[in-house]
Amino acid sequence: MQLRIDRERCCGHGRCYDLHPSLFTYDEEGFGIVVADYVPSELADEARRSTADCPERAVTVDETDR
Amino acid sequence: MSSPHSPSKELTFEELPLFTLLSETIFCTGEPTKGDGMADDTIAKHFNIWDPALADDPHATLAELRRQCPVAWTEEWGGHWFVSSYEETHEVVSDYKRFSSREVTVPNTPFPDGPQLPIQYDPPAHTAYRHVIAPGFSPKRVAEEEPAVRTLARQLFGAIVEKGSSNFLTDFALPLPSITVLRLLGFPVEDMEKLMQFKYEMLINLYSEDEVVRNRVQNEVRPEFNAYVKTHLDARRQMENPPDDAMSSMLFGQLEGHEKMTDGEIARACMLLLTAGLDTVTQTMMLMFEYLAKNPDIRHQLKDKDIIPSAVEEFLRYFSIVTLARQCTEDTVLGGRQIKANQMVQVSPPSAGRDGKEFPNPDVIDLRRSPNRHLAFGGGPHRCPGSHLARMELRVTLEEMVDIMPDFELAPGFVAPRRFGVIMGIDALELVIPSKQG
Repeated sequence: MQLRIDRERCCGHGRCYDLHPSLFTYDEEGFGIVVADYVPSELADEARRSTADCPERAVTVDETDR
Repeated sequence: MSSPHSPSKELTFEELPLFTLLSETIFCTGEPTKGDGMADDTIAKHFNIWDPALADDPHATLAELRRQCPVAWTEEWGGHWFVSSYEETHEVVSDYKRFSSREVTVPNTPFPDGPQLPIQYDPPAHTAYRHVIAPGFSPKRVAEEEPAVRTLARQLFGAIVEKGSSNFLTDFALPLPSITVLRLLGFPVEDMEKLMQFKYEMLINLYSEDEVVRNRVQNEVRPEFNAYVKTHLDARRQMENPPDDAMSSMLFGQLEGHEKMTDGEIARACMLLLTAGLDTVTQTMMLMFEYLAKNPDIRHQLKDKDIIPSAVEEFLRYFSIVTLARQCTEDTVLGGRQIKANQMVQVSPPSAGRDGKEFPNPDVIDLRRSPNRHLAFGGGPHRCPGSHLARMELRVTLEEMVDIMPDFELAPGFVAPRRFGVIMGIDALELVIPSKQG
């Protein structure tokens, strides 16, 4: 599973890294960054939930296995 | 309220589009297309967030607006749109091309030194200013400040508990965010009173009905404030290692090309950060503590501190105290209504936060609510740059409350004086600590 933040959409609300610090962190200006592109299986459920917390719908998961 | 539109009383529903077309062609005014068949905004006709009659229970009216006319035309202040739904509020704040920030208040209140900075700019100019302003309030800077905020919160709560009662505004809700924002900006905390006076003059007296008062603010107070900021900027220019604060970030940061912000621009930005960054946190704290005083069950849930970050988001959603506005740049459609170029569109995060289409059981506080895509800090490119700071202050406040002042009540007989307007809130909050009574 891969977690992504659409930089065009992200407005730096910070909901992702505040509520899910094991999945996200932030840059100098407070925009969200994905900690690790590929989500460890134990965090898969949280990663799916995290997409629902973004007001800009900028966080997405790609469930395809690679 | 199902009364028909007054202009279209004689028409059947089928005839409405024709009437719309005629009224647009004949009158061709800046007015909205009345009777466009999309909503009945009779109840919104005189809606005005400054109406004192709304102050006690704005949410009853906001709920009615969401139900009948989520995008409504009101004739107040020369006429403007009022958006009460979550979806359209998000649409407006996200789309700076259709909804410009060149005007951000209804009524429009021009600032004598130029537009408020950076809030009244659109991208790309806005983006350039944000690049040098945002680092001063970044999550990293905010995290560095957290220990100082915690120490301050402990002191303030400790003093309240010792006293056994509290005027919560002056004991906590005002000093904690004020001292914190001064530290982040880089002003000496000893100058707090002076800066609060500047802020009051420019937030209140600049709009006084008394021309003498207005002129005094314009001709004396503003230059005095600009000179005050300039002394701090000049001091930084002389320093070998200037402090890592928001003022330095604005002074030394580069805009597009090799330009930098001018001293005047930095003063304008400082004033905006002082006016926007203080009352908002203060009023969220006031409303939060009034709610917690009345709801001991919610207060007890907070004793599980893991819930506090999610609780902060829920209080932010529930109160979402700031109302803002945009100016439409082109004829467009919003929520099925036809908006004309240059009309003002006021959007309501307080109402959006209670929209049942986005939030199930919106009038109930659920500390574990998820998802919670509230718009308390707005959204889009103008999303509040102080959001990380505000969130940290609220979280630390709740964490220290649990440890130091877990139980409190409203003072007997106390009823909070409420206000609506651009910043919703209460002007006083009297608390008592039960263990200290009797």
